[in-house]
Amino acid sequence: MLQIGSFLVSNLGFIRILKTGFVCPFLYCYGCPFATFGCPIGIIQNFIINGQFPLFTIGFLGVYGTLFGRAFCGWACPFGALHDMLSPTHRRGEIKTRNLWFFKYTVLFFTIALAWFALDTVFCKFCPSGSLFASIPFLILYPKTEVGAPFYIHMFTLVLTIVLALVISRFWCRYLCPLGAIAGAFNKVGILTIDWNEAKCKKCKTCLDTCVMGITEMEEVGSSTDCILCGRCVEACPEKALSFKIKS
Amino acid sequence: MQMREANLRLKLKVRVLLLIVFAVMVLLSINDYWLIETLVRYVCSSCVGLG
Repeated sequence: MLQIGSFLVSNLGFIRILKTGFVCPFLYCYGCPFATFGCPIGIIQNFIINGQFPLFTIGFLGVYGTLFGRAFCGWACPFGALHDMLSPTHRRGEIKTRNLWFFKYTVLFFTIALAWFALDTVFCKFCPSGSLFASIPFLILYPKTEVGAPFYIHMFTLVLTIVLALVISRFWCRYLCPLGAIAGAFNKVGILTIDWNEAKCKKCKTCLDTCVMGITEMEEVGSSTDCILCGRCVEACPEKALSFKIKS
Repeated sequence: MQMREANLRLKLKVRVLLLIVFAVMVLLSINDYWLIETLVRYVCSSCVGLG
């Protein structure tokens, strides 16, 4: 429900005055004709290309992260919502994968490095979120626009992500999202977290079985860079050993 | 126990300090708002693979 709400808020830009300069806390392309906010990854690349330091964007991401950690990925990201819809039902048929948390940091590094060296928004050219929320709506609105190889590359990355999301839950969020990498780093210091009451826990691991991000250790719930604080584990725990907590 | 409390207090101070630092970063670069608004308003069709 919240994800639908955030999707609608992200598209209020169809009223021209509501196209703002605020930074979005999730991956939503400002190339969307109706975008309300700027995608932080796109903005960071643009600032680097122009030789400016993206202080405003980093400040915003810092405030979001310090308050909520990676919760926006779990509760508000429209592309994450698509992954939730595509996730293998009841986890059957899901491919078990190794925890490659560092992979998204590699993507983040190359996103920044390529913007610096190639002076282009290289990541945006492949971003599947941009394909879905910008390329397709743009083509629907302006059907006479010339379509070339870059568009087909966009469609290819989108289809590939969708196919992989069908067999690996939250595939993009787990391994590739550079914004998830930034937000995930804040899980260590974020004020919102998931608290594990070890005394109540019967070690049944129902919580870990329901985790869409593939977290395998109880100690990592709420603090791992992969935890999106979606609360599925909190709901699933039969002993109520997990709960949302404001750190104080 | 005292050590744990002191540790928690220190972590809280770090969080509040971080929040203040990031808020100050936003305030110091408030003029960037207009640059970002321009990016959002004028869609770069080549970035979305069109045009």
